[in-house]
This record gives sequence, structure tokens and C-alpha cells, in this order.
Amino acid sequence: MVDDFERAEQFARVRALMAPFLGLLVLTMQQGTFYAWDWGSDSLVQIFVWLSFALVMLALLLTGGGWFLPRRARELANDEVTRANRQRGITVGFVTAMITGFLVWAISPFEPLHAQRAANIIVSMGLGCALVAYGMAEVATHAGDA
Amino acid sequence: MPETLENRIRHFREARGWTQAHLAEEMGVSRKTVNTVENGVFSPSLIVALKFAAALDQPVERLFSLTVDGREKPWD
Repeated sequence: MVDDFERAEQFARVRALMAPFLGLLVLTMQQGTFYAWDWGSDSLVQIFVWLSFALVMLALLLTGGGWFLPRRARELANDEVTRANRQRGITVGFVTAMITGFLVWAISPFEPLHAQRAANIIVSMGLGCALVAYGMAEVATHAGDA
Repeated sequence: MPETLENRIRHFREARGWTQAHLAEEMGVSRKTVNTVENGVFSPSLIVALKFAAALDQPVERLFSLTVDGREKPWD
């Protein structure tokens, strides 16, 4: 029988491997699919898909996921080390979003951007870099496991 | 001068014949916490340090010490 300790450890290992890929997915979608979209469109589908994706990624970053695990397993998976790694990721994401915002602000007089496009660039850069930094920190701490 | 946090967790854990997983269960924390603290990768909070002390039945200052250039730092 798998107890909460084993369940938390298995989940934390999978999450450590998944987080950098999710970050890269966010960054890739920023440059790929969403780039081709019709910015400024009032399509409810487009708005719903973008908002849902961004909110799920933000929730994953802030809570560490594992929403369907037992409470005790979630507490173990989100231990002190993980919270420190997550804090590092959030810091990286915040700084990246700020710098991206500065660049968008400076470039926009010369290369006008739609508000949706500008928000997409800033949010994607912030979330993507935060997830990559968080995941890499988690992978590094798991790499030292005996 | 850079200060480093040294610990003797491995010594006291092995003296009891415990694995990291067993110590983690005794403390109610993840094995990753035990592993990263024991290897000096992560400096624990006071709460976790006290859990180590309670589980290994040792005073905190026997488990953890501050060192400067490899020597234990004298208290001011």
C-alpha cells in the first residue's frame, strides 16, 4: 500500500520534471500559437482559452499542484525546500515580467502593440520563466537524493 | 567572512541505524527535507531544526553549528 510519504515523493519527482517543460510550453505558446491569433478579437473562445490556460499555470505555480492528493500528502509534497524553490521561481518570474514590461513600454511608441498582445508577452514571459526556474531548482534538489 | 551551517545529522541518524526515510517519518517531513538539510543544500527553519532535535533526541546546538573558514564560530 502506498502511504502519504511515498505518494508525496512520487508526485514531487514528477512535478520537478514537469515544471520546466510547462514553463517552456508557456514560452513556446507565447511565440507560436498565440502569436498567430487575431489580437483584439472579441471571440469569447479565444478569451476563455487564454484566460483558462494562464490561470491554471498561475495556480500551479502558486500552489504546487497535487490538488487531488490527500491533504497530508500535499503538505509533504509542498515541504519547506519546495516552498523555498517556488519562492525563487516566483522571484525570477516577477523580475522577468517587470523587465519585459519595461521593454514593451519602451518599444510600443515605435512598434505599436495591441493591449492583448502586450499583456500576453508580459504574462507569458513571467509565468514561463518562473516555472522553468522553479522546476530547475526542484530538479537540482531531487538530484541530491540518496 | 562567509558563515556556513554545519550539521551532524548523518552521524546521529546512522548511530540509531535509521535511514533518511525513517527519520523523515519520525519527524513528519518529506525525505527530501531530510536529505537536503543533511547534505547542507538547504538551511532549515527553526521549526524543522527543532523537529530534527526532537526526533534524534539531541539539543539543537549539537546538531547544528555555525562555522567560519571551517572553524566553529565563537558566540559574541
